[in-house]
Amino acid sequence: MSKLKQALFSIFPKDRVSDEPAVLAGYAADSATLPGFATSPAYVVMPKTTDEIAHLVQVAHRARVPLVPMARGSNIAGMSVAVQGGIVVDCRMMNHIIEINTESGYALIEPGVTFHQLSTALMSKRFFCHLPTAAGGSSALANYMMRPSGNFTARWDPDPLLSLEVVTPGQGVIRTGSASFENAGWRARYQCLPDLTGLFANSFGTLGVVTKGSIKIFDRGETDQVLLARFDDLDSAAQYMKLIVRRQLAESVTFWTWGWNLFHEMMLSKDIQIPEKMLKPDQKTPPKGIPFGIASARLSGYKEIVAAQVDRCGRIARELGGDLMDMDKAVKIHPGCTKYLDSYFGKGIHIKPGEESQIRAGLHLSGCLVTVPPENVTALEAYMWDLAEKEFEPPYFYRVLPYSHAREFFFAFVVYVRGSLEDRKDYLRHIKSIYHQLYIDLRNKFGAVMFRFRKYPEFLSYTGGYGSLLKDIKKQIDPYNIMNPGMLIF
Amino acid sequence: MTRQINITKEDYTSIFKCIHCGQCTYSNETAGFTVLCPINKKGHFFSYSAGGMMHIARNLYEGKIDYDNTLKDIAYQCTTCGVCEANCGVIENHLKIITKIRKHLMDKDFPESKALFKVADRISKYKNRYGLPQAKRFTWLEKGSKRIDNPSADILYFTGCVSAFDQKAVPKALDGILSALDISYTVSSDEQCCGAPLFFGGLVERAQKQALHNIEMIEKTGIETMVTSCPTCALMFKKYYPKWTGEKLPFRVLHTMEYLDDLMNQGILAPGAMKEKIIITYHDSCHLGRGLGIYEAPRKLLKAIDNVETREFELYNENSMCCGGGGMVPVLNPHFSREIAKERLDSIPKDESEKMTDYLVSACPNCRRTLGLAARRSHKNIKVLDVCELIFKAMSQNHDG
Repeated sequence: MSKLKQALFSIFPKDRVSDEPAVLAGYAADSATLPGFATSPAYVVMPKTTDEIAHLVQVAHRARVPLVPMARGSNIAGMSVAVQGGIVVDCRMMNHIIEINTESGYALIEPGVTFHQLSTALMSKRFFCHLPTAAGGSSALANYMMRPSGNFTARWDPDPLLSLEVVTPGQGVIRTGSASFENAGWRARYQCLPDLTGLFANSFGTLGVVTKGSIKIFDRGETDQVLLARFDDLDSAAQYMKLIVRRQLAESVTFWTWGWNLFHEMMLSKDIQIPEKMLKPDQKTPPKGIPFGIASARLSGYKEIVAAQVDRCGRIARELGGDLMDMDKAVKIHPGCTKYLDSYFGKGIHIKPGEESQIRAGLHLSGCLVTVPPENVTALEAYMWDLAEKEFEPPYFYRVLPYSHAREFFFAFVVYVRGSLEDRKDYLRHIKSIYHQLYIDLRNKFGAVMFRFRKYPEFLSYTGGYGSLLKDIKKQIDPYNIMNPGMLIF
Repeated sequence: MTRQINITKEDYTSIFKCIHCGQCTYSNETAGFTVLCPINKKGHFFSYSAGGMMHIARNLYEGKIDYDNTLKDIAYQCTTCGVCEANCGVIENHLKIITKIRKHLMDKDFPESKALFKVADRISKYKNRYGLPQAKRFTWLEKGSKRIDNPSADILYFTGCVSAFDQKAVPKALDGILSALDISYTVSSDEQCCGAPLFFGGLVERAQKQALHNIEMIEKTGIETMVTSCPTCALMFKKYYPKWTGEKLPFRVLHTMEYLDDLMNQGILAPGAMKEKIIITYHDSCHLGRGLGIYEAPRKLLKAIDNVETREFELYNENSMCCGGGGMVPVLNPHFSREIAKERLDSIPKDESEKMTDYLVSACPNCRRTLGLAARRSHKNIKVLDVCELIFKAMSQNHDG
């Protein structure tokens, strides 16, 4: 038995450490891994405590063996995929909600806590959390760590993170935010020193293993309502979204084009046969009887206030050429989609744990995700339609939502790849090759920034000293680059 | 390494839909997304789940791994309870892919594959999994019964091997009910194993042979309705036979619960009353419930018996737990099967005074067998019955009274 194996088996009981190929096979790929490219780790471990992780990190640090942390494993974008010969740290057994503090408005959770678990626990206390469009069965903390691409974030801010506990190879166990001060608790992100919570956000396990974190939670108010508004173009929809967020009418709002709504419909009905109407060459024009897009908003608060908000949102929508959609009528057009919206926006809970990721990843979608200033969102949309007509096969569609009090818009343009993945390898490569130049063009033309890191060789050249500083910090925290090596710029 | 598994391109593509979300192991929202998958409850790693097995299949297909003991342990623990297919939003063919993994395991020299081949050989030779002579298939009928190959009958009763050879109380009770109602039915002396042990064991081609035989056998009788007490037989007939033949069956297939419920709706069957009040808990069979979507019929029938108080498990209907008797697990991994059954028994509801249910009732001879054995083994003071037995008991008591 190798020294490493001996050490791992001394930290973890037999049922929580494995080097069996069949067990490792479950960790060898995520849905972004192309056929034939799965990489098997040498070990997988399932820690239950920070102490176990601290021991593990020391062992890996000494042995210089790569560690890839995985919160719940529901990854779709290649951010947490096993490194050949490394150790996967599967944190799904660290699934405790340690504290829900309604006085200070935070919850302290472990990385294995799912959105479902958290939303359900908060619901009983009439609170709710930021709910991104990740799977309900995915890790709340890991998603918050990577800036959630979703909702309930617009009216306040996009960042739900407060304090963190992280195990690092260089510094051992550290805490950030208010939790860095003994006995100060987990209530705050900022204290009198520079913010280190932010350092770990978007780090994808390259700086350490996050073992717990506090996140913001919000009072549900007396009532909540899903408000649907139809629009014939993004220009008016974007104006509508900006206004209803900035004027404190909606907590969150997202605009989905008709293709995406039909896609929701298809997925929730479990019918994976893509309907003919989604395949028409003109993807801009919706089929008859279906709106170009629907802005779905969540309103909440006292009943009278919500009623007034609905009235005001309706007036704004009509002034911009759109209109509110009666829920009964919407159900007739999009029964499955409205069920999803009602649960997601209304109740603040996914219909089921796999829901949203299944919608996004289930049928192999390839997306271009950026954030863009409000004034450029429609120009960017036009650019994307033109590009898609030239380069992509139908269907393709997008969704847009205002971020951080509508200071910017999140824009996700998605291409659905039909057919057997083996047969479509070339098409997938073609899409990926387009994205490289596309991100450069979108930045130069519209000030758009890639939402998730993409590994392009010249990345450092357009981040100025930021990237070099990060590299220096990384050297201090993880001198042998054992943490998720190859990810980001490390 | 070469490809270790033969799956279609479509199946391979469908594997990529799995995003490790774990939905394949959970109940739905009504039971709070409790982990139901027996394999996942036992092994903590993701690979111990239907989703995990999809990734195992992907690695086998890509030639990245080979068969070993751990893989065998994972694959042979699946009870085919169907939690995965009922709850996963994108993959619908977990069991098909799992049987493909098993199919290839059958060619390896594992003790479990030998046990499965033994069952398969018994089916080839004796037409049943028990290796008993075909002549003993209908010993649950009275000697000289005219039910066998009765050409003038209205329905055909497909007994199924578990009922015919092991849980004879089930067909006996049904016979009692139908006789009391003066309903003419027949059994076929040419009835053979439905093929489920072969299919779930991975021997799909052999299962398909059984399917062709049974379809032809029933078609020859000219009877339009086939009834069976076994949810697994019903599942094979209703779900898999038409897929394999590519055609709709030339006769209607009903599980006894559907059939008796029809009779009750028509006013033909009136279950009557128990002499003394009893408390029962109904256990949903996986193949009857998640497999065929039959939840209400047995409950309606039980409700129709007077003096019966029904209690539900905390996990019931589509969120029911497996009894541990499916997927050939009792043959392949008996200890694991017993663990699952014990867990189900331990979850039988009690009232405030800790009073247990008098009867645990199911509509599946395999559940009756597995849970009955587990109850005896753990010295639990509970009797396990089939719904038909309880109905017949009530009808007989009325008659006596």
